[in-house]
Amino acid sequence: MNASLPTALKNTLISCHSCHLLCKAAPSLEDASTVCPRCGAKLHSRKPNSVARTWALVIAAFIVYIPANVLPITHVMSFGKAQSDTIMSGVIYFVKSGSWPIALVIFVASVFVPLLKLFLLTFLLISVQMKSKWRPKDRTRLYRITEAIGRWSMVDIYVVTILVALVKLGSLATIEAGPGAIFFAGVVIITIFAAMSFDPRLIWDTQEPNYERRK
Amino acid sequence: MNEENNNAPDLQSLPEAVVQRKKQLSIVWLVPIVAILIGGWLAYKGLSEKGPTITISFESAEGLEAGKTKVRHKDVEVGTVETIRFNADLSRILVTAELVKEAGPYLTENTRFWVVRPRVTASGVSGLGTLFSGAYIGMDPGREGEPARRFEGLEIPPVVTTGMSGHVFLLRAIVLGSLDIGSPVYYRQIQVGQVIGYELDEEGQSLSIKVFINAPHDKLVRKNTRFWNASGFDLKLDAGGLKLNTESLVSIMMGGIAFDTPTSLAAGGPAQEGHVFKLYETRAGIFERTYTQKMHYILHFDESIRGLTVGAPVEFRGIKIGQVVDIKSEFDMEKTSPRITVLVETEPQRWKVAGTALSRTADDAKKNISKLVAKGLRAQLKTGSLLTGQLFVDIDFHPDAPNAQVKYGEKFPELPTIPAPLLIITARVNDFLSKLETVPIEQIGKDLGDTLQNVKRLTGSKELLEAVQALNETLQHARQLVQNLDSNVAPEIGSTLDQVQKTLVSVEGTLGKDSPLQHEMRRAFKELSAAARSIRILVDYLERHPNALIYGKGKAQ
Repeated sequence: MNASLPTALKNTLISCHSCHLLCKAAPSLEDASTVCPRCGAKLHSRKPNSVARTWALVIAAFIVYIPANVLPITHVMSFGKAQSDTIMSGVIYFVKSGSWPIALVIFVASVFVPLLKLFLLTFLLISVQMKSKWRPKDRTRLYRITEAIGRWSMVDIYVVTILVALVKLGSLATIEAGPGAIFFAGVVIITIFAAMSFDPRLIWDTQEPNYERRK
Repeated sequence: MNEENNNAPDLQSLPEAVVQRKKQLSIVWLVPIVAILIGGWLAYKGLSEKGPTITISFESAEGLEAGKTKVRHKDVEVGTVETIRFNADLSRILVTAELVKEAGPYLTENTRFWVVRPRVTASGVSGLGTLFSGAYIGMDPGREGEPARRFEGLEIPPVVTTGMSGHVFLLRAIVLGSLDIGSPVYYRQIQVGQVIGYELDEEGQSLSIKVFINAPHDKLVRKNTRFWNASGFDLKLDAGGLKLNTESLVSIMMGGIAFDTPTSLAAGGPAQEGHVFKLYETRAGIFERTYTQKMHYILHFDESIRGLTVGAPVEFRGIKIGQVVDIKSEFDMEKTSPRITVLVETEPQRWKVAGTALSRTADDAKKNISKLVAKGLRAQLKTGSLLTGQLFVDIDFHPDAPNAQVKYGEKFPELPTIPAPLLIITARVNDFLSKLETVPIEQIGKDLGDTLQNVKRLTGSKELLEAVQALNETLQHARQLVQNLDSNVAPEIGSTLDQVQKTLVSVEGTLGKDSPLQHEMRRAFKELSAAARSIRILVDYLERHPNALIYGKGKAQ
């Protein structure tokens, strides 16, 4: 990238997050914060504490990801026969019964995507912290992918909630959400927040010739 | 964000205050901390609640599914089957199941597992609920015993589980009969328990049957209680005639055991768990007391013993004292006479002996038997039933029997015998006939002829004529005596009769038709009849007006 490009940061300008008004940055004081002169939103030249927050959320998501996959996501009762399924056992069931497309959808949406998101975010965080200058454009693209696919993981939760609401046939068949569903929803939500809290501009900051560690 | 103080130039030399950046930890770190806490708690919970993993072996895995089949106790889930695999030689399947932590203390060597499936047996239908829900593994926790993790699964659900209160008793029997696990145990034809198992003894000579008597009926089992096999029919044809016994329709179909405590015996205390009883073959058997002491005797019979069987009773005046245990025929070539040897077993304890004469030593017993035989103790075959012709051995005193003694052979003493009563009669008739043969009939006839000749001679003799004349004279004297009576006694009688007639006339005057007595009596009877009439009127009136008794006679209508 061309390092001589003028940036808002270099010219002590700040763009408002809410209304995108470009305004001059005021010298920041200890006990005060700068706000947008137009809409009143807080102004930051970069998302505050972005790396730390994202790290925290990514770690939390990793932790929650374990019970989300270990604990059963549904309890199916049919003819007095109780069966508890985790995400993976459901996938294995569909593979065994020959429903490859369904198995693939579930696997991609519920196992692959959340993991991919978490690993991508981890990679981006590490690269930012290492002040890497490696292919910032591609990394930005990865970030965009992360943001875009995150919400699709909620498909699983929707399926479970619809099933639970629909299949209430008394003693014939009943489906109930298991504790895994809550954790899975937690993973999806936490990763969405993690993606939001990450500031992709940090990727580009390292491209500046006089880049110094931001305070 | 360094800030310099430029207000006073003379203070330039002052050291600069160090501004420290706020090192506050972002609140966002709470999220992973909470996640760690929840995750850690879940992990701890999972680990701490992780119960023991056990292995159960079964004949077949029918209805079992790894990961789905539950282990239940009293229909409460206590575990889940994890894996199902074969053992090394493929003879059985091994089921590993993870149980809840609480089940740990109850996994002992006495814990039992079985597969609950729908079952239809003669005694009923069970496990219908598993038709839809699938089979599950039933568990019966065992509290006592060594802890165990490997178990042999039962193929048949146990009849009795630990929760049931009652007692287990052992019955010794020679054969099982038609009994099976689950066969009912009856007390006065009420089902109070079940057979829960049986096994052969080590020698294979007998078997012990385990029965479970439910509380509160287990109290009925006393130490002197008798159990008998109430299976099916008991049809018996013996010296006592024809007998047919049954307990109930169910026991005819699937066998059963009944018990009772004979009142005639001394009452024993309540039986403890695991008390061993003898299982009698029939109800009648329980009344035969068991005797430990047995004495054997050999009896020789010359007559036919058709109708005598092994097991036939040996009786003394109608009381059974033993039985026939063996019958053997012998032939003595020297005497060329066949004879039949019968071995009988007697139970001396059946006798209540007064006095100290009968002590239990062998010598004393010998002495006593000799004494009894000297007094006429003999064995004899008798017919028990005219219908069936069954024989039994009767032992009794025959003081007029020919002298005999107890013979002590190689093994058993021999009691003297006398022939059967029918044979005795035959023998006597024979005796009589042979004596009759020796009677000299011709001689008697000749003597009779002589006697008649003598009589003839007597009637023609002179002495007889004289006797008749003497008799004639006696009769003449008698006639004279009667005439005398006629002339002297008759007039006296006539005057007496006159007196009697006078008396009767005066009596007639008193009781005559117009006598005052008659008149008085007639009046009295009239009065009496009038009184009777008025009573009748009163009764008639009362019958019509019963209230008159209370209100008095009403106005005349």
